[in-house]
Amino acid sequence: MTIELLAPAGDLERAKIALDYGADAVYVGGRRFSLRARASNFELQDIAELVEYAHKDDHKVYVTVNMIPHEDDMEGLREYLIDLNMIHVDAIIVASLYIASLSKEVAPTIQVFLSTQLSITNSKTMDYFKQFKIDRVVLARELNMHQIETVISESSLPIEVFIHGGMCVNYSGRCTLSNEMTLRDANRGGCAQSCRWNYSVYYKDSLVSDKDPLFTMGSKDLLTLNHIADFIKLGVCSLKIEGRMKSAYYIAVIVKVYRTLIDAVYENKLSDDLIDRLNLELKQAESRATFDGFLSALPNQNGQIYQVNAEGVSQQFIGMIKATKPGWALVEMRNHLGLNQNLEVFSAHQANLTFINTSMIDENGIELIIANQPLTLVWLKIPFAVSIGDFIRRQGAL
Amino acid sequence: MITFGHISSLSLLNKLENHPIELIIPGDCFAYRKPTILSRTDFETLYLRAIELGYHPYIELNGFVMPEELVRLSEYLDWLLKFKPKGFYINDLAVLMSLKEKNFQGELVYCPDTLLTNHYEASVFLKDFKRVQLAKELTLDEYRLITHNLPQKCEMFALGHLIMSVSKRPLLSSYFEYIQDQRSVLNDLNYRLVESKRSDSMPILEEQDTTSIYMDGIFTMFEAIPSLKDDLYGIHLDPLFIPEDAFIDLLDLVLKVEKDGYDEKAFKLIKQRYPSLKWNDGYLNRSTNASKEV
Repeated sequence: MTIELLAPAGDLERAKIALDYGADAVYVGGRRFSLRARASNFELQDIAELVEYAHKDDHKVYVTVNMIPHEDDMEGLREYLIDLNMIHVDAIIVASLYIASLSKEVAPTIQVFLSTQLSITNSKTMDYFKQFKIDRVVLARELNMHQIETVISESSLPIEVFIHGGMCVNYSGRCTLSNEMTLRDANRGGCAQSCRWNYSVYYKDSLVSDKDPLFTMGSKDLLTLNHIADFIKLGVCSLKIEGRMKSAYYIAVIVKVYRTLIDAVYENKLSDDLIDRLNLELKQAESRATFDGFLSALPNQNGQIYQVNAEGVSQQFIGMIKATKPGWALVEMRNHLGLNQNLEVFSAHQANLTFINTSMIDENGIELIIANQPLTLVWLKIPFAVSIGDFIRRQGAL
Repeated sequence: MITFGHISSLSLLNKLENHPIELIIPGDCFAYRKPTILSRTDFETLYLRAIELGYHPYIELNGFVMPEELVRLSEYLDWLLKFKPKGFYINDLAVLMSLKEKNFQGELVYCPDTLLTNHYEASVFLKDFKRVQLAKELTLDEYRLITHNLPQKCEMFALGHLIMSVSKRPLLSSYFEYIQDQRSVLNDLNYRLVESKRSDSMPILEEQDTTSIYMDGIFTMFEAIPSLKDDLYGIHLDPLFIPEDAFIDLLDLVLKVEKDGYDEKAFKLIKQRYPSLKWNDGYLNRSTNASKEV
């Protein structure tokens, strides 16, 4: 069995894009019982539609039920799990053993995965969870490669690991900075990312931090291209991308990059050159500096972001194709675009193709010299066939 | 209701003679929030002194166990069991599993800091633990509801600086390394963080394997004790970052409130005696279920 590439999605469109661009499974959150509540736009009927879409190609849909609930949050939980069972969701991701147990009782066909919110770091802890018939464990992000290898060798439970995206600087699920600073409970979907704010440091009564940069706990994002082959070799069952709040373009790029890499490993086509090219590709979608988390070593200053703009962020994305007609594509614009620029079509279905933007027409048929209104629809003249769901960007790396 | 004191300082321990409380002593490894217990000798000295003073201490292992540490954990537990502790306060369930393998017959209490936020969840763990320590980010109403559903099975944090986060990263030393400041930060209780737009001064403690951050003021719940004492098994008092004399005064007041009810005047006297200390009531009267408007 090949390793699973698991992608996030904040809505139905992004979930379908993730699957189209190469994810084997997607994880989504409903409007209740999920972290990233702000990122969750899935009503039950949306999840049902997604399940149907995914199952047609043997893909899977996991639903996060990973809040750490208080007494008031429990209402409707049983019914929700029954509903998820009825629409054939493949698994739920939980941080509560009560929810895990309840799901096994009322939604028996749904698998139960333990969230990284539980910060599981060793096989003996996993042994404890076996009594709850847990089907998979998402490991804590605080482990290095050797430690992951040790856990896998000692445990019979399938292991999922994070491979890309934002990282909590604290042990997941054990942080209430946001609760104190904003009254928003990080463990109930309200995380305000207070760890990324700026702080002065005092020793006794003396200020000991610099003015620039101030102290911050903000972590660089995870990027693990160099470790994917090892994950496969070790027997990790699923590779998870973080980012239910990320854009469709981000999801598409990240998924396609890791899909390409995973396929190359299985086809014995992995090379340093490929990793370099994929690394460049990732940088087109990244919004933060990256590192490989704990995988190589305990993060020191190199794992932290002390100056937000310390590393350049690419803003290449132009828009997503919403409709086509021969020679033209209707693009939902996200960044400004002028005429005669070198552009590239980033597609799930074909290699990237480039063209020069020679003509733009708005929805009323008026020719444009510049398109600079986000979310407006603009027809671009494109000299080759493209598909709905393809992305347009300034000419890039791959 | 039992009062538990978390003790990691010998000088404070020596001031606790004849106090009707239970002691919890952190291990020298597999634990954090123990900046003065750095070796087995430190632990042994503290533990044996507690015995001399007539206590039968619990041991707290609130850390996370890394995969390669499981063998060392087993050996360490064998060493700890020679002290015949009354029980263990546990975060990582690997400790529970190891103690079960060793057929430990004492009390086991689950204390993961944040995860136990409702009585359904607590009930699950009560199959394997004698009691649980509830999360710190609960309102007073939530504490009442949970303890009413699980009488004499729950404990809660009642005095001290509330912990807000725990990281495996060396956050202070990384920052000072970045700004090329060679200062020592390890196990130093004197560092504080002040957020750019706020005035709260939050203790931050970097230890060998963790960095933890705490709320500014000292959390107290004197007024709430009478309404909880019938159902709550115990309350926890933590002296970390609190001057020893102030902690002893606060402990004495807690014991008085447990016996005679809330005494506002006595608390005011303590506040006057220690004017530099700040106070708060944590989340008892403020729910943290706000959400950002989008």
